[in-house]
Amino acid sequence: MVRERESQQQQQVSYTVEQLVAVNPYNPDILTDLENHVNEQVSSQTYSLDANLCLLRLYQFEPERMSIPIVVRILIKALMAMPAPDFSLCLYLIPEQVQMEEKFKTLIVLSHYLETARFRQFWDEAVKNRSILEVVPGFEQAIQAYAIHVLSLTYQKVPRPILAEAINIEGLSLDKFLEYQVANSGWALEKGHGRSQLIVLPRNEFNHPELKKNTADSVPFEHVTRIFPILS
Amino acid sequence: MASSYEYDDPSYDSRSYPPSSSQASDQGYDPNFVPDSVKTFVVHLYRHIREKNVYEIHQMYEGSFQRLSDRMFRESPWPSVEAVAPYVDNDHVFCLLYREMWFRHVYARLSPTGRQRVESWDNYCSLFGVVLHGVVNMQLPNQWLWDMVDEFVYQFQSHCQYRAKLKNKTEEELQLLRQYGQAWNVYGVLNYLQALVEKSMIHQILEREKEGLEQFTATDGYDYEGGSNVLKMLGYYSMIGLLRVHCLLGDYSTGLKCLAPIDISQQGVYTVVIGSYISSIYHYGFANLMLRRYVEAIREFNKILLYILKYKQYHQKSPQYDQILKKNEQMYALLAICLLLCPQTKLVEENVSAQLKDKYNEKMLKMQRYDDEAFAVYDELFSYACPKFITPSAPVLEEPLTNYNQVVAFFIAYHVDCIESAFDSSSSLLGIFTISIKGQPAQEAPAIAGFEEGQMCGEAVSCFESVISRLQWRNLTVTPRLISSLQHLLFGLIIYPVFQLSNYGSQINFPIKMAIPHILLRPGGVTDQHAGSLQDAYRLQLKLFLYEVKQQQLLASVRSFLKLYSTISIGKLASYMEVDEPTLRTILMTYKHKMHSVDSDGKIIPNTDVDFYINEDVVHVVEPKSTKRYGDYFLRQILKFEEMISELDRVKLD
Repeated sequence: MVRERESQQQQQVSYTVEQLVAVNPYNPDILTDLENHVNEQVSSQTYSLDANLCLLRLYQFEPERMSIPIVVRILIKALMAMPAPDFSLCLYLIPEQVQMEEKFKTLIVLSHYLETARFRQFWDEAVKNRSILEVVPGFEQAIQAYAIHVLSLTYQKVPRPILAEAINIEGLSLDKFLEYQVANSGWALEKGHGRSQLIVLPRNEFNHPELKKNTADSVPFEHVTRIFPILS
Repeated sequence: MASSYEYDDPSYDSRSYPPSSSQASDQGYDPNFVPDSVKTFVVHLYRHIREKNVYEIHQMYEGSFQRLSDRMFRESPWPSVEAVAPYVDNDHVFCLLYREMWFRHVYARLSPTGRQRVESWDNYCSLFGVVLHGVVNMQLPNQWLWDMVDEFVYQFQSHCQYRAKLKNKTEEELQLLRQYGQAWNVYGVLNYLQALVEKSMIHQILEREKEGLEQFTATDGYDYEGGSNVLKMLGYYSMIGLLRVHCLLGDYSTGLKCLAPIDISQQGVYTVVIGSYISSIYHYGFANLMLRRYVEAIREFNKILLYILKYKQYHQKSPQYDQILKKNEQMYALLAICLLLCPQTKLVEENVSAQLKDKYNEKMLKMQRYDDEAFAVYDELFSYACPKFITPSAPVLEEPLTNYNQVVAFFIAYHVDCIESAFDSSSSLLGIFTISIKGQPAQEAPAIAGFEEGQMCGEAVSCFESVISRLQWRNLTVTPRLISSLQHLLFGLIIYPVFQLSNYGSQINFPIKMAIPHILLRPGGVTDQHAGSLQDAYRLQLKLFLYEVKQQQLLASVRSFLKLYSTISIGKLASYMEVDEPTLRTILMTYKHKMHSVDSDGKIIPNTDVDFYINEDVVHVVEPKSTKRYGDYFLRQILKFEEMISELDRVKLD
């Protein structure tokens, strides 16, 4: 009997959190599940915006149940999701008084640096606040990916020092990093003015305007289907 | 937009009717007296509903109800449902519908009491309960069904505002709030809307319609096979209702998800009733604005503003005309904001553009300058156009202020000399106030005995005055730490009625003002802490919006420079913009980042008309290509000609 009940309980838990959020999001009982889910996201390096927003909403409805460490983790995860505006989305749901806590102020400052592409200041500040950020593994890599994204939007060929500052890697580690990217992500290295190294970023429609698909001229398929009866 | 009464709330005592006495003493209102015209009205309405005569129902609902309200019930409610019931066979569902209109009338023309709010909630619960059970067999006009959902959300919003104002409440009103905490509870509201969406299976219906398996849009949602349109349409409109509620809570992304099954780029059932069209596009556009998807917002605002321009004359007689105009103005303001943050030349129609210039040209010029005044204009436009945000959590109805007072005051007094001497120790004050704001009970504050409350208040106020005067005389630099200490100090001081921030008005310059919690800037007084929570919700959204605007401050000048060149070196551009090279690089990257938004699928969408890329040290500006849209043009002409040809074929020549 006990075993049956246990396996029943397990079945209930196995409703994934995603399903809970999709089917029954306005339900105060799922708050603990959502909090556990946040911790899961942190430890398994996954991310789910919907579940986190759902949790922040529930905190908004019942402020006594708000857990500051969980909210901090959600915000760090949202920072890692940049360039998506997830961090702002989360801030919209957190009351102003809570945002005045020290940790939140730090995170807001970090987000500000990232939004305005001030990478050097960002990494300086991040180092000072390592204790807050260490909680979430994968933070550094995620921000480096964001930095590379912004650089790819802007540059066709970026000088080495700029890249180094943006991703906070220097010297030999940077060389190794570049080797890896050249081998796997289509980067190339060139010589620039003077003796500086230039990194050629992969071609995409943002830094190579000729690649931009001329969406103005493309016609969605459904519209073309409208004239099929006429053509036949 | 059922009610033409707009719940505009600049000050908390602006209502012309005192809340509880508007019904009792009014010109001898007798709830049991049923005038003949009302008798005829309900009898006919009941018959039409039974006979599913949708057109007649609509006429009575829009026309007769308004006329009778204007003529006979300007200042009193309609007869009570008990008095009317005998004329309609005591039909349960009709009574629920009648009550729904009854309450809507009270909200629109009078001001509802606390008890009436609770009763209205009960009525909606019963009404939706009946619908959700699937036993309803009526066909009702879409206008009515939209008004139901719209009113439901509106009454929820109104209740949040009502409940936050604890200052002027009588004891019995507070008791009512305590007793009926479930009424207009945010969970209840959201769950009802969600239940309507799910039970009506509206998602599946829309999906099947795309595959041609179902008729929905073609029939405007009505059911011509003898069924009922009520559940379906309530489900459909609840999607828009959910979008609206989520926007009021500040959760824009989920709101957009709720609306996702409706294809905004096409006409649909949501465009049939002008109220639902405007409400959905207004909230859709606002949510996209807050998500930085400016192009999307501009596109939709343009469409609806054009629509309103063309068709508003047909709605002049309708009771929603005022609302339509108000939303029209608000959307122009939002469009102005979007265009400033993301200038576009091709997305806005000429007529709309002309109207926009008419209304906001001066303001837009001011906003382009990005100085203090510009931020004030952004503030003004945003505050005018934004939805009335709410705080969903119930305020604490008991006042734990005395404990709070003592803890805060003690620590202020204890550290007041620190503020005087060295501002770095404001960080310790910061920590202290963080504790105090969490409301720790007085017993946990060490050695609190021996301080009189008046004395502590005096110390705190003099501390504040000293800070302000030193700022004025520029003995201090304004650092973020100082601002946050000041904020904390003020949060503590707000409890004291003697402290009026308005007394210091002239001494506080704009940057400091921005940092002060808005709760303190109201002229009336600062003791109504809970009422401030409403302002908090709006204040937070405004602050985050202005923060975003600030981050985009230098982008406008970059854009203007880039328009002048096809290539320019970083060094030269830096010198023109009077910044150093590294700063310029960050500005350029910010431009790229802000102008490329991420849509709901994670794709990057460029939003800008002026684009560039950098090759080591040289910025290459991209010429915007103006393309002719041949494909679309040909398609449209083919279809038009085909129509013409088939019409000609049909002409019979004798």
